[in-house]
Amino acid sequence: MKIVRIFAERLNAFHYESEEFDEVRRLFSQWMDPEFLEEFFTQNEDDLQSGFFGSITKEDAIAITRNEAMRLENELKALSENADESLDEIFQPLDNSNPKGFGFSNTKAKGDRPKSWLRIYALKIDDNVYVITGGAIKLTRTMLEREHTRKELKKLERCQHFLKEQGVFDIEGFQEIVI
Amino acid sequence: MKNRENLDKFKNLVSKETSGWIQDAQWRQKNEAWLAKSFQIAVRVLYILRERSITQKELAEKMAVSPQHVNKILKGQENLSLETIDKLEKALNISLIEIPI
Repeated sequence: MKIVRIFAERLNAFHYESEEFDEVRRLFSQWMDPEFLEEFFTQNEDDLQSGFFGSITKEDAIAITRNEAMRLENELKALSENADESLDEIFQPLDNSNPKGFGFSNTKAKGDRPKSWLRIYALKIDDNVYVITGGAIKLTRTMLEREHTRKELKKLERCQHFLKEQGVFDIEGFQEIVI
Repeated sequence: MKNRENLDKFKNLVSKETSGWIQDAQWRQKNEAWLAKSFQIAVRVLYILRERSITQKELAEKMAVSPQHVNKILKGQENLSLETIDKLEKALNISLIEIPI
């Protein structure tokens, strides 16, 4: 795997061997892809009715996700054009519903609705310097409850290990981005 | 000083390649008006296909277009012509756009 620059020297992302694109490009492409979203929400339709987000139809969930992804993308794009605004304003520590034992600065970014399900996960390398490891549509309270979010935790761990092997450490542990 | 060394080590790890995301984002922002409509049409068609158990290949045959063309439509990336919309409507016996008179 390799790390590519998203913008300036402050936002970076992993590009895994198995993927055509780096994680930022892949995520936004998926979140605006009707075919991917229709398949995803069909497979996870029960979570839309579980009450955690109220009760939402699959069609509404698809529209909400795209709108939120557009807003999140435009927000990141605006940040890329404004060097004075720190990324530290949008990243926050990953919440404590995740397992202990990750020595990383595990960060996630989420959309702007009160109960957003979009997540971007990252590791904080320094003040205003991050590397994105992945992201997910998180429909449950914790990341451990579904395979696709457990996979994101494993990716965070794998990326942390990769950085450690190269002698790079995280300054604050896992964090999350909130937009 | 230690943080400085850490950051330098990280910077050395970053590939010279840059992500194509910013170009994607600029393109999406510029074309958002028709992309939003294309997305809505794709969602409606995907709903019908699942409801009626029709495959993308079958839809392509009904429309007399290639499966790749149908896939592009269902990815919401097609700046749909009136001709293509008409083919979709006829193939699925649905109405996708109506013009108020």
